[in-house]
Amino acid sequence: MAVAEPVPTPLADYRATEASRWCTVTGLRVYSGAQTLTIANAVAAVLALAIGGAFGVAIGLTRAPGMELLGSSAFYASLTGHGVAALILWPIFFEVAAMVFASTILLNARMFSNTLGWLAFALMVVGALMTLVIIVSGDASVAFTAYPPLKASQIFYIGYLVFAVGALLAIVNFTLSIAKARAEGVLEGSLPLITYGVACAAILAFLSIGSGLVALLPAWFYSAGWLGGVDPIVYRAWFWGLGHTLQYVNVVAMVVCWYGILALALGTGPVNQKFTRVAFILYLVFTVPVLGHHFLVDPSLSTGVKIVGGTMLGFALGVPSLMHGLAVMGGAEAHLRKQGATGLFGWLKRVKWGNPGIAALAVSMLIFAIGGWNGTAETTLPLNMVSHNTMWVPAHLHQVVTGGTTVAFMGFAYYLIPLLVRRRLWGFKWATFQIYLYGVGMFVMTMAQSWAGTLGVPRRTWEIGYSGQAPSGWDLPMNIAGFGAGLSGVAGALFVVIMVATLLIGKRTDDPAELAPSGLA
Amino acid sequence: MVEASKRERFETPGTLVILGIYLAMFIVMWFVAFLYLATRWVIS
Amino acid sequence: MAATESPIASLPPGWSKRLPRDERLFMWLIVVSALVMSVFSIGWLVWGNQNVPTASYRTTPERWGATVSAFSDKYKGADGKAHVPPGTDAYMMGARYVFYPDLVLKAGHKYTIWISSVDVLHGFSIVGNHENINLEIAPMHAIGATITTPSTPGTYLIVCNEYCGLGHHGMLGHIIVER
Repeated sequence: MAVAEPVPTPLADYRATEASRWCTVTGLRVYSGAQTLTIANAVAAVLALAIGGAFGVAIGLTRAPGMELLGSSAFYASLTGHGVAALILWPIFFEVAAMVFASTILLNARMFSNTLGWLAFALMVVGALMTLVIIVSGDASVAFTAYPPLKASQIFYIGYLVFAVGALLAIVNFTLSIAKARAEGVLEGSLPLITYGVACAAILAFLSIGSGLVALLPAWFYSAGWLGGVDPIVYRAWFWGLGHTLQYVNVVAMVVCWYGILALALGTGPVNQKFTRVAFILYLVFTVPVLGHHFLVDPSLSTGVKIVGGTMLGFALGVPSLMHGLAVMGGAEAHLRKQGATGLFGWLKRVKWGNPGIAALAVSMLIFAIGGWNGTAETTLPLNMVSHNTMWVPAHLHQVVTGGTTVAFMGFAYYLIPLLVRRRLWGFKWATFQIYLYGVGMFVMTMAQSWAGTLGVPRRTWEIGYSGQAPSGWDLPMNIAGFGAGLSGVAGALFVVIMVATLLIGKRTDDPAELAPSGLA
Repeated sequence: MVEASKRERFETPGTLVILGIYLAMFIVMWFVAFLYLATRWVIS
Repeated sequence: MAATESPIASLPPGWSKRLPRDERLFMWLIVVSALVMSVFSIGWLVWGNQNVPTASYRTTPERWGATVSAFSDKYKGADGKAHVPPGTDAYMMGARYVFYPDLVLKAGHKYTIWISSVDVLHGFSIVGNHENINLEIAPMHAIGATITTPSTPGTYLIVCNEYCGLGHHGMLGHIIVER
């Protein structure tokens, strides 16, 4: 059970000692406040994913001309709900869980302030509920981008802002927890890699939320009638300062999960620490200007801004992702070669492809890689003319955010949650099956969407018959995409079921082999 | 195929091959996208 | 896994050491790729035939509506579409939920089409007959796209691909290319 390692004495023991335990698998000291808050954010994340996923399946089955599940108003409301729940709520709640974890448990430290942490959580939950309820009511069918002069009910903007403030407070708590661990002597030397990566994500999140506030506050005032109008091109600039930077929070968090899975399932790290940490810093350097790729075909912005910000820096931003690809895959290969794997690809046989963490790592890297090619083509200025607002865009973003980030989050959650709640994952084999099914669904859906995009099928559009005038050949890829969405919907629902079941009826255990099953064959 | 002497100098040859193939496909498909663009209407 | 050693909180040494051969080779490959792609992209800007229109100016929805009406009245045919002689600029507007007016252009000629929105953001997307060109239009900003029509006649649709409201899916325009 517990290891008799001396507890570092805090410099000033100014409040009653908080309860803690020693993790039998990682040897980390887990304070109860941090543990509970991490779990709370993870649970909120999974619920948000369930809601976002449900909206997503509804959209996919509506845009399949063979099915047309929803009517137009319900579709546009679901479109908004899907964007908010799946792209804002799910990733940010999960990232806050990771922030709490990386600034406390991973450092053997306490949270800076339990109160602040819970206040942040409460604001995020309240904001989330406000936006979701108003979306479902139909008074906020503006898509999660809410471009003025489109207008939603005030409650939509207020909910968004309350959620954003909550996330900001979580970032503050994250930063101060690390500072406190340093000040109390609990953390010495460099930040552990996971914390380092999460810190990069936190910095980007801070920038992105700041930009979002600048975009959303005037939009709110406009919806309230206090402001006569908002220049949509200016709004787009500030909104995508939020939006694109936030996507890179998701990318950095995905990469962090890759390293988390490498550590917990394979017991290893990246192939080279310096290489990896530089790659994280490159995200910080290149991310913000690349918001330009959202207005490559917008009026009134100079070609210079577009080609440098959107295109060339966009290529530069691909560099750290490729570096992490090498560091993760190479880290696994180097480790497996040390264990005796031989031949060029023999090491691939030395992992358990039936392990959910390994499955998630592979699926996430593969689909993200496809999304990366797609994104690089779309960010090239002239190429954007044949992809902007066509189905190429949802193809790209589902490859990177859903196939990439969401799958990585799922794989990491399959390790983190059991370790935190000390229950064995319920439905281990289902977990692996779910990951592969999700990957297949996303692959089919996004390939079909890419095909539709090449034909010019528009995104965010309810029904594409155009009174019989639509070009021929538009229906088939959209039907296939709907099928793919359905597959992923089933897989996503399985994930939610597995997480809930683990929390409620997972077998209580402290056995490392059961809590963190090895991915080594 | 990678020879034994090369394997001694590279720590992760399998990864390099996989990523090398990916990069090659990436570049080729990027150029193919320009071919597609070139067959649209002339616009500026 | 030993309880005192946590791989997830792994170690950070070796900043001053040179990167291993694998990483150095890989960095060369990706940096060179990025440079080649950047140079090609800039080359395309200079020598390529399909580039994002840059002509634009500020306007207002009222002025734009008047400009489009004047143009459409002048060139409107019996079919209600604007028949544009080669050498004349065309003016279109996006408004919920139509692109107006429909244009009839001569095949194989260069035209400048000025487009703006008079209400919310719209996506100006020319599709049909294997065509696929997409631009974003915004109120208060007009853009001028200089296109060369194909030499074979055909009908092209303009669909809106920027969500603009509950009737977004019905928003349509036409460009007809005739001999």
